[in-house]
Order: sequence, then C-alpha cells, then structure tokens
Amino acid sequence: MPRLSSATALVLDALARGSRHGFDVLDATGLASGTVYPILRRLEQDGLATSRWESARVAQQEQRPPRRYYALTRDGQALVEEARARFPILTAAATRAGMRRA
Amino acid sequence: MRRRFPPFVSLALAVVRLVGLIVPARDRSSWLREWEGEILHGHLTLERERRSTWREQMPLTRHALGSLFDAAWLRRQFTRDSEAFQDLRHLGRIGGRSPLIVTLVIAILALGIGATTAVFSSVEAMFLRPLPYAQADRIVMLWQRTPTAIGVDDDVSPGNFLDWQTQLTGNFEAMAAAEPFSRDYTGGGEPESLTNAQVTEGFFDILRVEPLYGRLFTADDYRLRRNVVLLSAGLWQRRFGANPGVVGQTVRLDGLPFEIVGVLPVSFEPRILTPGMETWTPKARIEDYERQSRGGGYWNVVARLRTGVTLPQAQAELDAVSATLAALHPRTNRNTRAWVMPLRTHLAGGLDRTVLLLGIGAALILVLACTTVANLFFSLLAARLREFAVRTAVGADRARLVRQVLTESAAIAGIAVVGGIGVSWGIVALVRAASPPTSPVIGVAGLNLTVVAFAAVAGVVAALGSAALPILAFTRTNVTPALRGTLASRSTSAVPRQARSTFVIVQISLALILLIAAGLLARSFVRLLSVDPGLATRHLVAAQVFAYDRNETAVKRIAFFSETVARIQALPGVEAAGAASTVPFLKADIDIESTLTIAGRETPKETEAPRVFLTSATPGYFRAAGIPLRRGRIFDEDATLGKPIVAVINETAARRHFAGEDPIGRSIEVVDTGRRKLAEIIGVVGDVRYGGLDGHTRAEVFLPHKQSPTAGMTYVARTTVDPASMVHAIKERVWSVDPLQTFYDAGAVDDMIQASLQPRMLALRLVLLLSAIGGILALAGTYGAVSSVIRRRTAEFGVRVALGATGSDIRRLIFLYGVRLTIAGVGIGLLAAVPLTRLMSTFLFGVSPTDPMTFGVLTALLSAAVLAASYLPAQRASRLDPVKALRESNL
Repeated sequence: MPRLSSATALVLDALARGSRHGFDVLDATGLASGTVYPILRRLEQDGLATSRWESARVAQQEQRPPRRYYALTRDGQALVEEARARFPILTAAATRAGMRRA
Repeated sequence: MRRRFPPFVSLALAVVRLVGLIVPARDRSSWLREWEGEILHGHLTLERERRSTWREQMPLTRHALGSLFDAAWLRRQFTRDSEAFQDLRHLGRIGGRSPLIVTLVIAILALGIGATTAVFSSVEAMFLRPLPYAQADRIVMLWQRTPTAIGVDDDVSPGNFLDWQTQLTGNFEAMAAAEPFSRDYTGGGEPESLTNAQVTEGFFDILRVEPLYGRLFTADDYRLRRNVVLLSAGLWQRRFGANPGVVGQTVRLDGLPFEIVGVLPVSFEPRILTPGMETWTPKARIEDYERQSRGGGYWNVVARLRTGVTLPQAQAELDAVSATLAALHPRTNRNTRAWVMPLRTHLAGGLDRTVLLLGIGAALILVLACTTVANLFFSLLAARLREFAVRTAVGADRARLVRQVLTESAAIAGIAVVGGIGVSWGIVALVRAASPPTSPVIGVAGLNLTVVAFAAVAGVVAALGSAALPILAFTRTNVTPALRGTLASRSTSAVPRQARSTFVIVQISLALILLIAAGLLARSFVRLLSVDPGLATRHLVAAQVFAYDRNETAVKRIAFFSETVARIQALPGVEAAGAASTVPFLKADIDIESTLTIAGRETPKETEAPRVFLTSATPGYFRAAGIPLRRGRIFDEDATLGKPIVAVINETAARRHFAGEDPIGRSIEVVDTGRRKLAEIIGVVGDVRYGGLDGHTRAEVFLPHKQSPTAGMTYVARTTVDPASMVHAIKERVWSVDPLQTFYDAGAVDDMIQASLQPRMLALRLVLLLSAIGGILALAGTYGAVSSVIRRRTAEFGVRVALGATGSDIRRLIFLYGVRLTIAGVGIGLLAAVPLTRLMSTFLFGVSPTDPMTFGVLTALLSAAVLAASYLPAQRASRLDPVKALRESNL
C-alpha cells in the first residue's frame, strides 16, 4: 500500500473524477510529471489502479502513438474515500470546480 | 515523409528518447510509446485549438523532463527485484553477522591477489609493454666473447665492430656503437664527473627516439666534429632545474665548451654501457689503435634488422662474418664468439631468474590464500546449512541458492581485487624504494590497465576457485536433517572431511616451503654480515677521483696526490689518510692485472704465467684503511721514482706463490702500464675482499704510488667523528689543490656497504613476512580443521565417554588426526622444498640450498607448532561432559 501522501491523494482523486491519461492527471492535479508518473506506477504495482492502451484506431486517426488509460480498481476506490476523509480540501476543491462548471 | 514538429515538441520527444535509455529493457518500448503518445496528443490538441505558440508548447518539454524521475523509479524497482541485488544485500547481512570471517576472507584473498599482481606488473614491464622505440622488435644488440682476453665481458672490441659495420649489410639495416667515457662537468656549482657515452654516427637513428627538447645528432655534427652533447632527462632535472631553455646553452665538459643540442625523454633507458647514462656525445673520430683493437671489448653495439629478417637469419650472417674474421685475425679472433640479442631481452637484464622465483613465491602465496579461504568458505556455508534448508523447504531451488553463493563470492572477489591492487601497489612501491634507481625492471613496473585487468581476473579465479569446492560439496548435501535440527545439521558431514584435510595439508606444506626459504635467506644474510671485508669499514670515508686531465706526467701525479693526502691528513677529525688505485665498494672497479715472474724460478710461457692484481698505494693507505700488516713492513715516503722498487703482497699472493717459503726479500717482476718492473717484497698484508661482501679475495701486489704513479686513485680517511659529515671537508681539501677536480664517487664506506646489501635485505624481509603469514595461516587452518572434527563427532565422543572411554582416550583420538595432517603436510613440503630451494642458490651465500640444519630446525619448529594447534582443541574435547554432548545431539 503506498504511503497516503497529499500527492498520492491528489492523483487518486483525479483518477476518481475521470482523469484517465497521465497528462490529464497532470492538468487536474497541477503536480509535476516527475511526481505523478511514479505515483501512477506505484498504484498499479499495488493493485489500486490498472492501465490499458487506448484503441489503436483512434490513435491512428490522429497519427500518433496510442495513449495509456488509467483506471482505479475497487481497492483504489476505497482508498479514494480514505484520502478524501484525510484531506477534506479535495472535496472542497471538487465542489468549487463543479459549481464553476455548473 | 517524416512529420516535422515545432521545436519544443521535437525537444520533448528527444528528451524522452534519451531518458528512455535508463528504463529497464523489458519496459522500454511500452514506456516510450506512452510518453510519445502523451506528448504528441498534447501537441495535436494545441494545434486544433490554434494555441501552438512556443509559450504554449513549453509545458510539453517541461513534462518530458519529468520523465527522468519516472524512468529512475522504474530502474530502481528493477534493481530491487533483481536476484543479484538481493544476494548482495544478503551478503551484507552475513557480513554483519560474521564480520571476522568475511573480513579475513577478503584480507587473505587481497594478499594473494596483491602478491601475484605485483609480480605480474614486473613481467608486464619486461615482456609485454611496448618499448619507447619505433619498431623496437627490429632493434638488436650484438655481443662478443673472447676467452683469451682478461675477464669475460660481452662488450665488443672496436676493430670487430668496424668490420661488422662494413660487412654485415645483408640483414642489418644499420649498426652503431657506444663507447664508455666520463666527462668532468665544471659549469656552476660543485665540479662533478658525469657518465658519458660517445656514440658513432647513426646511433640515435637506430633507436628512433624523439627528444624531449631540441634535436638529436646530425650528420654535420660528425662531419664537422662539433662539440655537442645530449643530456639525459635525469641529469637535466638534477643539474639544470628541468629548464627547457637549456637547449642551445654551452657547458664546460673536460674544460672544453660543449653545446647542449637536446634533452632525451624520461622513457629513454636502453641500458647501453651503464644504466642511467647522463650525457651522450658524438664519436666523430676513430683512432688507429681502435681499428686494430680486437681482443677485449668495451663498446656496446646496437643494430636495426631489415624488415622481415628473423633472428636466426641475422645470427647466421654474423656467424659467417665471424668465421671470416677468425681466418683473417687468428691471434685475436680465433675463439671469438659473437651473437645477436633482441633489445627486449637485453632490457630484461638477466632478471628472468629473479622474476621466476618471485613468480613461484607469489603463486605459493595465492594457493595458500585460496586454500585458507576455501576452508573459511566451508565454515561459512556449514553455518548457513539451516538457512538453506529452510529456504529449500519453502520452495527455493538449489540452482538459485548456488547462484546466490556465487554472487556473494563474486562480490567478495570484487572487494578483494580492489584490496589486492592496493597491496600490489604497496609491494611495488616498497621494492622500488629499496632498489637502486637504475634497476632495470623494478624501476618501471607499476600499475596500468593491463595490470589492473590481471588483478581482476586473478581475483575472480581465486575467489571462485576457493568457493568451488565448498559449493560443489553443498550441492550434494541432503539438507533435510538440518531442517529437523538434529545434530547432523550442525555438523560438517555435509562437507567432505577429506577436502578440508587436504586444504590443511596444502597449507602446512606451503608454509614449510616459505619458512625454509626464509631460513636460508636469513642464514645467508647473517653469514654475509659477518664477512670480514679486509678493511676496517667503520669511520672510514672513501672518495674516488680520476685526475688525468691536469696531471699528465708522473711528477705532477706524485705531487698532486702527496699534497692532497697530506692536506686531508691534517683535517681535524681525520686520524689517518691515504690513497690507493683500487678500493672495494667504490663505483668504479679498477682491475689491473699483470703476470708475475718470481726471481729464481723458471719463467713460464706468457699464457701459463701466474697472474696478480696490481694496486698502487700511498704509505698511509694501509693504516687508514685498517688493513693489517702480517709480516715485514710497509713502504714509506722514501720509496720514490729512481730508487729500487719495493712491493707489499697480500696473504693470498703469499699463500699461492710462496707456499712454505718466506716471501720477504724475494724479487718479483710485474708489468705495470706496459712496463716491466722488478720489485723486492718487503711486507705481507691481510686480504681485502673485492666485488662486494660476497666477493672474493685475489692475489694482490701493492706498489708505492711514487713508484707507480697512476692518476686514478681513491682517497681513504679514518675519522674520529661521523664519516658522512667529513665527506665534503675532504672534497674541499682536494679542491684547495685543484678546484676543477671532480669526484667519481664519495661517501662513508659503511653506507656504501649498506647500499650494496639493500636488495638482499629487502628480499629477506619480504620472504620473512610471507613465511610468517604462511605459518599463521597453516596454524589457524589446522586448529580450525581439528575443531571442526570435534564439533562433528561430539555425539560420538559423548557415547564413547558414556561407555567408559577416558578423557585421554578422546584426546589421543583427536590428536592422532592432527598428527596425520602434520606428517602429510611436512612430508609434502620437504619433498617440494628441495627442488625449489635449488632455484634460489644464486641468492644464497655460504649456505647450501639444501642445508640440513635449516631444513631440520624449521621442520621441527613448524611441526611442533602445528601439533600444538591440534593438541589444544583435543585437550578441550577431553573434558567433554557426556550428558551435555548427548543432549546437544538430540539423541
């Protein structure tokens, strides 16, 4: 189980809220890629997240290599709840973002 | 067509591809796809939203830089998971639990590797390293040996060289010679006699060396007979402050101006004539007498073979020319032998035997180290049997465990190699410091890539070789008993007892060989120290001069030496002073031989006439040098030119030529500087040893200097104070008569003797050290082997005691095992020592290589020590508590 640092909590929250690709998580969390990617690797290693390649057709249409999707597992989802409980600011920030979108 | 990306996108992709090299190979391709995918998606998104300015693209590059941390994380995970890493961590834990054993293993291996590497570095310098001369494999030396000449020099006579040069044109591209000389340098500071080689035209072209500064000799230098000189790097540093501006300067050599045209490089040391030659000048003129000189030689000849010519071909041509010369000049050349020698062989300087012996010694140490380490590995493995048993039980396969032990051994080897390189560097530095600076090979042996590579290979072979048998033994072990925790688990029954015993026997035999070698060297050294050189060397100063330049006539020479000896005698602190043409331990050996004709006896043929060595001496020489008068009297100052010549002979001459007679009053005829001289013997003095402490005495005739006025003399002065402190004062007394007089050699005679003993002392110290280490290892090995037997058989002993055996029965049983080890080890050691010590015979003095006392005493000592090492654990076992023993065995 990874140490539940604030950075890990942010990444978990971002994944839970729909960020699926590495660079999307960067945008959502505002963290540096050197921080986010090792966290993603650790989450995958510990069975809290999974990853797969996007459809080759999509990538081909855009003429670029396929991107990698990340998604939380059930254990990952459980950890998100713990993270939100430990870091209430995650919930507050999300509420404000939702209100802005609305 | 390749897509072109904006600069920051291209940069981001390039960064990611570079960083990708860090990612473990198995993950690299998917990792690159992921990162490139993200970067290109980001770029395309920006393009779609028409936000493709450089400011908006820069974050892509920033993100790419972060890929470094991602790659590093993956690499770290990969390493942590790898077997090798786990094994090394495990080794660290073992090191923590058994630090002594692991440290011992590393230290002992380092010692073995260091000794072997040090020897290899000499071999590498001698035989493998490229010489600093272009196409050096084409360069050869030519030598001659003429039995009828006095002495057995291999140097070439000038007449033969000149004939070779004109006639050996088929296989030899060019040939040149070097003539030994010395030049008095009277530039600034103290006048000094410099070694000098006069070289014929083409000498440096054959060697093809690049000067450090300036130029080499040109054809014009020879044609115009210019006074030009090349300096050695050593002289340039010592006397000229390593100043590059020295080229073009003029210096005074032998009173004449010479222009310095160049400085030779540090690597230039062809060992021509004398090692460490200080100056080189052109020999532009060949004298008539040199053209005629064919008997004894004193030139060194160097030549370059034509491309493709082999040594046998060159030798065949030389043999043919030698035969022609023998026919043309039968008196001098009939029995002259000439041969060709590659330069590399010449540079090795006949040190092959030394290196062979050193190599054998180093090999012995390495084998000793490996057997000791193997026994230690046995102990380590035995202690871990339970751990291996548990791991096997939970699923580790045996191959994995063997790989683990191999990884640990390799890691130990790595550390030992580093330690071994340090040991080797230390040994080479030690030997270099104690060797004369002109020692041919030891001076250049050192550490380079080849030597370090050798150390690495030696280390891996040694460590794996040591671990091989224990590992092999382990792979045949049934570990299940270890799991059950029965006594068998604590035993070394898993480990063949024979292998441990064999190692101990090897250790004992090697230790004995080293001890005997040390003993023989030590006895030689002690014998040497007790040799009476014939002079009283304490408080004795000697200073050697060649005063020919300004003392051309007999009268001038007599006046010069009389005056200088008198002034030295008058110095406060000098008890007695004198001078002689030949004094032992000085740099220049002046050997003047003559036939001896004794009046009243039949004159023999010249070739059968007895020969003696002539020494010219002042009357005070004998008292100053402490040479005792045995009979008669010494000549005094009245023995001068024009008066009847008198002579003093030494005991060897008296014994050899006047056995059973009284030589006093007898007339003899000798040939001194080509002139026959009749002399009356007035005294007999003690013998003096020449050629070092291990040198020889010879039949000697002393003539008064005033009746045999030579200009090459050595002053001797007996001092009441520290002789080294008087050297400069004595030189100054000579300079007060002639300020330009240089000294070929000067110093306290005891210091000169010490210097001559340095190589022996060093060899002795090294061998003593190695034999001490060997002895300790052998004792420790025996103690360990016997102790392990006890551990293994504790249950058995417990049963025996319970059934009535006494403590002394147990002790005898164990002790007998130790006795068997000792007998086997000592027996093999003695058998091996006999042929090996014969190889050492050139290094021994006054002791035979199979000296029975040395062999006997050291064998007895080592045997006693090894038996004691067996007895101690046996004694402990005899006090065994049978109940405790049986409980521990779980019976």
